[in-house]
Amino acid sequence: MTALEELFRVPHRTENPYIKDWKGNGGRVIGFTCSYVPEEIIHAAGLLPYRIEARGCRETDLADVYMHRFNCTYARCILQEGLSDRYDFLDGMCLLNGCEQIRRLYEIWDAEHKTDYMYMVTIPHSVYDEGLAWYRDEIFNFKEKLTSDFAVRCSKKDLQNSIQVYNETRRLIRELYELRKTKDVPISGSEALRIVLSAYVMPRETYNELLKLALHEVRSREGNSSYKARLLVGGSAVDGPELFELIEGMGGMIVADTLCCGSRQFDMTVSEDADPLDALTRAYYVKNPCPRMMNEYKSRLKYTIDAAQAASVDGVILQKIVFCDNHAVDGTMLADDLEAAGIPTMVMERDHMLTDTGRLRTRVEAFMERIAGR
Amino acid sequence: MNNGKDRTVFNNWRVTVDLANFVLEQDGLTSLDDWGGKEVVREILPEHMRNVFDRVQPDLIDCILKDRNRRTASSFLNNVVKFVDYCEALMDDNRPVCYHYFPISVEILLAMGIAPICYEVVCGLDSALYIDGAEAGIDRIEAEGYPDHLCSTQKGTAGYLLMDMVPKPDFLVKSATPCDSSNKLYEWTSVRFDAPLIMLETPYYRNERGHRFAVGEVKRMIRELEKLTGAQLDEDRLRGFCEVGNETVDYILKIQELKRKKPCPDTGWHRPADTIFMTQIGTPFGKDYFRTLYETVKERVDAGVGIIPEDKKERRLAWGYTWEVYDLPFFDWLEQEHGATYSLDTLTYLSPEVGLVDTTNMETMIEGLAWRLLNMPMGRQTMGFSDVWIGDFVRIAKEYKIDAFVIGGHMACKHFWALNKLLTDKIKEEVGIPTLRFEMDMFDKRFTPPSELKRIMNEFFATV
Repeated sequence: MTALEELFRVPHRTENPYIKDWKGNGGRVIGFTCSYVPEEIIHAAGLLPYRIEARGCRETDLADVYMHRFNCTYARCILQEGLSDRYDFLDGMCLLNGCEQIRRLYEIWDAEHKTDYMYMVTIPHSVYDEGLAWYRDEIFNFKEKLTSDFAVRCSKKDLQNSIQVYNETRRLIRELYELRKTKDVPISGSEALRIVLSAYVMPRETYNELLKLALHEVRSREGNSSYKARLLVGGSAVDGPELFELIEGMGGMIVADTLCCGSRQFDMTVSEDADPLDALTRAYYVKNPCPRMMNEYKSRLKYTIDAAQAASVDGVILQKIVFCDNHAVDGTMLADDLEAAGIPTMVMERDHMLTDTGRLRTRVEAFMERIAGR
Repeated sequence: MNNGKDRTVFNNWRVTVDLANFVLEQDGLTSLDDWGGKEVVREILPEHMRNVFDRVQPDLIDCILKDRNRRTASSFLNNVVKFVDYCEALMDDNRPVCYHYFPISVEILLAMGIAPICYEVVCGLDSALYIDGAEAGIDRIEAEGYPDHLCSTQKGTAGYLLMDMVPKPDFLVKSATPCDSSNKLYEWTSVRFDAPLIMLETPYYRNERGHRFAVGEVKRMIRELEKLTGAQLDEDRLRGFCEVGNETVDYILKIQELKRKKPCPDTGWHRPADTIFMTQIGTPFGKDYFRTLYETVKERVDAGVGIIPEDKKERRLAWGYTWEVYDLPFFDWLEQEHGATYSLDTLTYLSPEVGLVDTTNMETMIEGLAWRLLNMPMGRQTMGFSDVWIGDFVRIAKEYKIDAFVIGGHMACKHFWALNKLLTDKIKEEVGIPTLRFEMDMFDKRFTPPSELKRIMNEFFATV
């Protein structure tokens, strides 16, 4: 199996060979749920950060006991996987008050899953100096509790090393995104997404080595220009390739995104010169903001327009998981302003579990007809 | 600053209150049917009241005409007009309009001569008064593509803003919790109307660190308001409003104490009304409303009477989350039909921990207002870990000798829907009382119509 094929696999959480190896060697795994949790802290403490996802979740019967139908299916699917014992490999869990549904997972998970180490990092809802100071204290407290509970070290040098490792990932993924900006696209959006998602479920050093090799393979591939339209996908968290596959199955080519697990996470660089905790805090706090950050709409709009123009897209699909208020409002606002800026945009509602694929295909097809050959 | 136009909603409220006063002044009028029905009453009304009369909920008129409701209904409605007068006078004086979130105590805005319009009250009051509630506003914003799962209280007002029915904001003040829906619709308003949005972060922890941070947030809000208005916050003016606010809080806490009595001396429809006036703590009309309420409740306690018919056995309910506002007479019906009284809910429960604001100097007042920010209803329960919410209602259920725990879950409140099982489980475990949960939209009757509310309650009482 080549490195590229390996990264395309995105192993399921219960059959993840990297996790099995890690645990088999006495390693411990810390789950986290939001891109505002600095993974470097966990990594520097010698623990394996694992971004919680719910790929493959097909029902929410257990989660529905605790979370109502008005809660988004992303949160419910994560809970379902937890209650189905498919996260038993976790030694700890760090949540963040990213949105009101994910933050409430904390109490339910704590009560029902019994993960030994539970922690909540909180981040203010807007970007300003006092908020930065609060968030820094939060990250410091997280580090202290983590190292104390797991009896591990997380020195300044450890943090500096982790920042370098994670910056390397960001640089490599940005290279991958650059390759997708060409007319003859060497890798589909769903393949690229698989590569990106793999970063969250394996030791980062291993991932970086695989990605370096995979990039060579991507560069040597023949480009594809037989698509109907170049697309940017934004909106709610995407933790599996199915949605991208559905869109590309209709002739689209996803060449850019503004997702929290995608470009928004890798478009930043953490300073390697400053105090590592300060550098992490600043980088994560001021990065391209999630819609939960207030007074940042204009920067989100600019980020989206810049990304769309840089990748020469024909249109933007803003997908939102039902009952996600942050993306529901932001997506609708963005759609109006992107259209005004001459970028055709479709807002598409979906569940985390892609059940109504017929409706989604019809909507994508109609959008493609509108924008193809413009 | 605001040009003072777009007062359609305010004007409707004013006419509605004129109408209420008119019917309350009619000797011997105890219900619309007494006078031959709505059509007959319409004919005797002054011309300018007829359009509004057609919109006002007939059951609400019947409700306020009952002897037990007249005094507080009159206070409620007339103080609404005083609030409108107050805001309009400021707007006429070219003072800025600030839309603020309901758990924010407004003394600082008042002291700076800013017209404080609570974003949520605009929609809430229309929902309470009119047959069609704030549906026009809700439908208007949804027509822009904003989905039905957003909170209707902001949607209604947002729609009214688009329809030029309420004054445009010069700026907005919002606390960051409890929900994404409200945050996002404030941000939408800010962007759409080019009005700066001041976000007050509410720390997740109720400890010294959290309080210190909140104090810093209030100070930051003051700095930003001073920058926006070009005026400085005056200590003496602030003290004056804080003193009025303290008196108001004192009345609220005393009323809460009196509600421990059996039978309950206070009627349930006051709770939505309380929320409206809790947004005006610091104003003389807010104080006047709660003083009237306190005096009314105290008189009942002193007379040893409750709010339910003497032949009814009392069933004491705590509403573990919200009330509904689109059918206020529903609470009157609960009391009369089922003997079901209403103690407290998340939107009006003011924890005694809130205390009073120390008015010694500017610093102590800011500290007190920051503490209040952390303890205002709903903000207190929802800004951090769920143990505060659960703890409050386990205590209430025990101390107020609650017989059943009712949760009318507002469909937009995702944080609540992810908590309700933990809350009801704890109530059952610690207090051992039955719980009822149902879905509704607090401000939009189309979601769970009044007839369905009654069916749910009838079934519940038949079962328990």
